Amino acid sequence: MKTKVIILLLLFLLPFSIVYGQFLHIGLRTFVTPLQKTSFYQYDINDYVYYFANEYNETIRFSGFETSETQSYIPFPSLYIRYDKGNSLFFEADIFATWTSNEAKYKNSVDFSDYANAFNPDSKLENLGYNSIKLKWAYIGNSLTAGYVFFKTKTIRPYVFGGISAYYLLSLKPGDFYEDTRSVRNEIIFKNLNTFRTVTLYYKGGLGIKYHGLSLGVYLEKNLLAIDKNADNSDDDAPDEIYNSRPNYKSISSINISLSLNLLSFNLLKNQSLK
Amino acid sequence: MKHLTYIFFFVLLFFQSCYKEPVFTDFQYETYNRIVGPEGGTINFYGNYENDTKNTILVSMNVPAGALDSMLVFNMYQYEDYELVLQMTDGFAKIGSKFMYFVPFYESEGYNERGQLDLSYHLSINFNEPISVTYHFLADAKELSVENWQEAELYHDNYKLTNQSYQLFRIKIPKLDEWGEYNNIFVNWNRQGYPDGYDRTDLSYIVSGLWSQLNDYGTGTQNLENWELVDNFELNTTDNYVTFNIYSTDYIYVLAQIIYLEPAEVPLKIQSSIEKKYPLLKILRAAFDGESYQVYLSDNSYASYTKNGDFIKLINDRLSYSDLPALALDYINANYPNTQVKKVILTESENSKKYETLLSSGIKLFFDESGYLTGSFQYGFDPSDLPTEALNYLSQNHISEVITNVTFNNEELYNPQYIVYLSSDAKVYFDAGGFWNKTLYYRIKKDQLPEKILSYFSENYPNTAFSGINHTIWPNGSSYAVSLVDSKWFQFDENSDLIGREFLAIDEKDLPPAISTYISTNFSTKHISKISFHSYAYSSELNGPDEGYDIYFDDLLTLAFNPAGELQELYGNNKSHLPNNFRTFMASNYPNDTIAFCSFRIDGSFAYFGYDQVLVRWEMLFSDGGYLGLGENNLFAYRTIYDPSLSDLLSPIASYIQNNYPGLTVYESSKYFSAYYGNQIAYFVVLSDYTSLVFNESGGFIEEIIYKKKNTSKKSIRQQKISKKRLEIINMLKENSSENKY
Repeated sequence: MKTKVIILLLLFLLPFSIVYGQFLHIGLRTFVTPLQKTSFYQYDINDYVYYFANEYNETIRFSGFETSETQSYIPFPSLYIRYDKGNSLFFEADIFATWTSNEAKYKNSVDFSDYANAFNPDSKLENLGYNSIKLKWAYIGNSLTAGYVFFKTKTIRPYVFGGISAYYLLSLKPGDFYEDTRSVRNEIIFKNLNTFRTVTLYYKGGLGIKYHGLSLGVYLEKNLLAIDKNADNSDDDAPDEIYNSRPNYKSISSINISLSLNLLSFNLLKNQSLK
Repeated sequence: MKHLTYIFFFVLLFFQSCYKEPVFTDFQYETYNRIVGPEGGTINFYGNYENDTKNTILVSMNVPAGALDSMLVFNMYQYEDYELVLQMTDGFAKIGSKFMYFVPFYESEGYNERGQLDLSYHLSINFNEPISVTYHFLADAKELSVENWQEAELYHDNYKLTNQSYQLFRIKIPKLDEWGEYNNIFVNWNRQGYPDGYDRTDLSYIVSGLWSQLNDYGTGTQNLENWELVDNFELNTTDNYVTFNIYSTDYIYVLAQIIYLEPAEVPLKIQSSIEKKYPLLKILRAAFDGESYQVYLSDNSYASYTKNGDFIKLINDRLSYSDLPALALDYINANYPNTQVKKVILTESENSKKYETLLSSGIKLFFDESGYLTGSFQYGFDPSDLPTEALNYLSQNHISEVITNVTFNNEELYNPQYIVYLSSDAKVYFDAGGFWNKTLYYRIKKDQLPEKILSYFSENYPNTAFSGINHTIWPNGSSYAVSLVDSKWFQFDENSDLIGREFLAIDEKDLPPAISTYISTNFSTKHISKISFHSYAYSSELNGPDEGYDIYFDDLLTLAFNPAGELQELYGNNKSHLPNNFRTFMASNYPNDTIAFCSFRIDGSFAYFGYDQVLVRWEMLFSDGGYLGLGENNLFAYRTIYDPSLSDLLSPIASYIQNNYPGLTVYESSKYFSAYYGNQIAYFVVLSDYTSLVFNESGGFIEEIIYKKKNTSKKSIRQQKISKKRLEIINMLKENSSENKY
């Protein structure tokens, strides 16, 4: 798998070596994610069920995860290098960090009133893990993009771009709102949700407008290859893989808005800085 | 550009190495689920839902390979019903655990969809091999529960008292249509559409017998028809678990002690008493709880008898307003014209009758047999109507507290008492004039105990907890009463010195060796159901500190010992209840008599014959209705027979009666050792008209006695209690005499 990743990255680095460059910009970018949508593998109603042996005969049923939609307006940081080929074509590489949280939802057989009465009699807790488990994600990523800027004589110039991103999972853990007294149950559930790949690839495409060294872009990002470690087992109905090798995550797509500012620009032909 | 490429790769490799897998414990789903298949396995149901890190096992199922044909999911439920437990305790069974049962379903079918009607019924599955179940019946017990006090009360009053005399019973769950079409138990569904055990009313009816194979749903009367003793269970009351095999899913399991007695199982002495006292009533059933008998009669009343067979009282709580005597009705109409009478209870004790009337206003009125008011009790008395003295006392001593309730207790009419309940969990007692009697703080905290008392417990009972502490203050002193969760009770005086102890449930191993030896020597085959211990530092009558052990056996034998292991009292109802040497004595001296009841008291009791009182240590009722009394060293004291024919009497006595009292029959004839008539054997004969005659050993007439009620005021309370039995016979005579008039 790692070999595939490296080959793909090499292909996207290729333009840097074959084009005849002109300007090189180093800049800072921030981006927000107004929508991130995660879809899951779907299972039969009696397939992905936890029958816990406790006093309430608690049954947790992942009747196919419900699609998770989250939004984040945290300005994630990014550092980029942009290479302008002529007045219209550009290539860019960046490094960014992002973090997010979402919920894997399920159905709980216990009545909420009974559940809340047992774990939250004073209604002080925010999240009881009654019918969802909160997942907290943290990534570092980098991406390579190529774009085309229109209207080279105008001051404000629209542009389109596309490329590939690689996300490196730094951390995945359950949310910290749950009662410690549910740790055994929650850990059993989470253990089987911990199937997200450490390196995942996405393609991205979008459009934006540019004003001198300032750019505002909107782009869509979607996974390029499988994102679950057990994706190859999705068609395998072997009973022993029900809990241990079950794939969960099917796809992730997101809409992002970015604001970029060139901090340093170099004219590679004249070998001098413009700013 | 080449450098950029290198940097990018290094970043990639660096990032990839940053991820660390989360650390998980070794607790796997496989150890926490409730599914099992043909390969077998173990299911542990945990009793710590509120905190699953504790891993307290409540029920463990060990399923052997091949027991099941397909994957099954077991749901386990514990049914608990406070009212039902009270109902069963009222003469049927003392409940020692929750009612535990399983509701299975096939894993392949799932079960969450409401509307799968076939899953609404009981799924009966027979196992190919028995499944071993271990039920830790106290694992999830709640000692304290603010929201559900019934749960805590059931724990303390029932489950915690379970001992080796309890047995495991199984209660039938009907299979689909087994008790008739459409006559099935239903599965409850919760709001999520998941099963939540069986319907609680259905369960209650099955347990109480209101619904059985013979009785349609809810039409039966309470019985134990659905109950069945489980074979080969292993009960461990040290670690509080029971292990047994189950062969199907068709039963509810419960630990219990059956107290129900069939009418024929009621001791003859009591049967005889009922027959004499209430000739028109039949015994429906009875119960014995180790302390007393409750005998339920055909008019819905019930009589209480001591374990010694002495009558205590008869209670009829199903009377109506119109059953009250006319004078009582007049009193209520005149004084409480707009009040409804909610309940009327008649209590008949020895020589007295009392009507208790509860009005809708909460006032209880007590009337005697003729309908005269004998007392009252009022809950919710208006505090502003308290005597001025009492209000002054409260304002001076409890100014910051709120009065939550006042009761006015005037049951005896001559000593009324006000009890004021305060918000600080204190009860303040005042007499009729409002003068302070005492204050009881009935829920004080551990840290409010004097240091000396705390030290006593930390030294002697370090591993137990307090369940209740009372502090009583009165003008000349104070005391502390402390209860522990393991049924121990202590009393301390104002100097924090221990003055009393009562242990209601102590272990057999804690008995003094002398007592254990006595039991193993004389009653080795019998099974102890309960042991209690009491010790009072203050004098009991003339014998100094009162201390001893009461030992109850599951076949009704009861023994009382002093701490030195000397038998003080014995109550039994057959020859196996006699100690070895005395059993031999009886077998050789009274080989033809069958014991129906026997008692022994080391300090003796008195039997009365005319002017004589005879001290007896052993007293026996035989199956023919006759009594035998033996004094010190088993010397003959008396023998009484009832309703003898003249041919049973000495011929001179028979002739004397025939000649002098023609037409009368003999009610009672006693042969006894008389001190009054010069330390000789004498005969005391009571005729059907209540005439008493005394004869000498050869049948010579001595005198006729007109019965006069003895003045018993000089007797001790204990002696009075013992003499009740004789009074009972006299009362029978009276009743018999009055019945004959009609």
